[in-house]
Amino acid sequence: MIELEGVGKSYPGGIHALRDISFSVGRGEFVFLTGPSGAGKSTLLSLLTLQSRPSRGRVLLDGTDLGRLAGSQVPLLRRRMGVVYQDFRLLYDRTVFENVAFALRVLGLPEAEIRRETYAALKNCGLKEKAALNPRKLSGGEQQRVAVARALVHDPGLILADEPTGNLDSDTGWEVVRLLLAAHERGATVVVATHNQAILGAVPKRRISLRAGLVDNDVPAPEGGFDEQLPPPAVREVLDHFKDMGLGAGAEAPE
Amino acid sequence: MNVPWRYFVGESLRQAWRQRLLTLVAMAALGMAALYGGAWALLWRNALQLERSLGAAEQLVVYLRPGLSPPAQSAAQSAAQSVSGVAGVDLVTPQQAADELSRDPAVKSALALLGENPLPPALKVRLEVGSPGEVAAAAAQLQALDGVDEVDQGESAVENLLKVSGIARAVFLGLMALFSAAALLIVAAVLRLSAWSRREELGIMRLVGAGRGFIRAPFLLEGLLQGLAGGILAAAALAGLQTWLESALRSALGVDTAALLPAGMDVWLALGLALATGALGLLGAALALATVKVAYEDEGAW
Repeated sequence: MIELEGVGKSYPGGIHALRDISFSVGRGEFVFLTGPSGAGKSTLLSLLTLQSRPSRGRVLLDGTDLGRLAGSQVPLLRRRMGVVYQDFRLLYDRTVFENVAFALRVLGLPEAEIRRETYAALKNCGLKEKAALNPRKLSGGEQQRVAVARALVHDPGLILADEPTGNLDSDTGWEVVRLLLAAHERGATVVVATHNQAILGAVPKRRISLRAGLVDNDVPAPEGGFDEQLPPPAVREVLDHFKDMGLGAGAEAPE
Repeated sequence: MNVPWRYFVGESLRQAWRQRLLTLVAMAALGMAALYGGAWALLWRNALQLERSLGAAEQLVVYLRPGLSPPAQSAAQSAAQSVSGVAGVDLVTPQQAADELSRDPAVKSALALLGENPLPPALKVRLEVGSPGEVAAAAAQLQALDGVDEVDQGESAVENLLKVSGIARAVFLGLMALFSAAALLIVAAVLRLSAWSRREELGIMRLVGAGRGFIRAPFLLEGLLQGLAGGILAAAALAGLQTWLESALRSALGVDTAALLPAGMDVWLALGLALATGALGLLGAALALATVKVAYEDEGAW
């Protein structure tokens, strides 16, 4: 689904955010993009979300070269993906409902369908009761769940998350991870940029580590083996989820 | 794909309310332009009416060749009658002309001295056309008729009046163009400011997949609605001003204002004014959006 071939991204002043990145992500895969601050995770995601274009190499999404995509095609491609940002990026002059519904409005769906799908997504993210509120009235965790609901409401094939738990406490962070895992379970390809070691340790998924704009390590999904020292109760839910799916059979949720 | 008009209208109204001070400034600018436009249109319409009413009184004297036989005089009268724009033709024989002039005793004695009547037969032609061009065209056609010696268009005080009215209209037109340009720039600046203050929000919309049209539509609609509102307010103000003026003239001078201002504000003029101002607002919005860049995207990313 995603292919990067010798991708580099430079900025004026000789800053090389990405130097030579090559990897691919298959359809339906769940990948963690990890590495220290400044490694290039967010820059890489910005190429995938078409916020910027590569300086070198090719970024292919379902065979489409994003670097050569016409401007008029960009919104069409974005509608096929859902993106979650660390800073939420919500519309603070609208209600929670309107924020989530917006992703459906740009698709031109009928109002009745927009209402139905939006309430379903809000319910799925535990926000149905907050629909009429302004996002500013919500906690950070709830705001991020609004962002996740907006990213998932149109059932996209690709979900990108840039440090989705970065501004959240541990428990609320795990709630967000749970939502992303559930979307993956429904068939979506998910790429999550994070340096949250607790999550990386607990969720047995492929990890691509970046360092100084290069791929440092590309580790396939481990066979089971969860870190049992992580804080409950959200972790327990994640672990139970994996056990239900038959993954990580050796793992036990902490008591 | 459904075009979410309801959403666009709601969004533009919401934004207009959210930035109501800027909205008022834009509407005032557009309203001023509309006020000038409406005043110009009223002046133009009344000047046209004036031209027509003055033109209706226009009369030409067509002198026939001396010694033209009475049947030929009648033939010339009939031919003049068929000229386009001619309302009526009276034949004045040399004797009738002499009788008329002889009312003045000095002229009477001068004619007696001459012995023979020197006056040629003539046609008094009343025109129903008004503009100087139309009068000149009718005169040229009359000059070309058989038996015609000369066409006298007379002292054209009307023409002078029409020239003055034409100059006034041109000056108003120039002022209106200036006001429209100023209004356009103000609306563009206001909407650019509005878009700039919302660049982060617009950037987020883009990230969620909104196309340019989806983002621009509420802004364009906002410009259009501001223009329509400005135009309607200007039409109402002009109608009110006209009523006041008529009433003031009537009570102060006892003047019949219906004759002075025969063409007043009506529904069609108000509608035209509102639509023209709406178009001005739309153009201002389009100008504003052409220069605003949204947040979260590299230069030239899309």
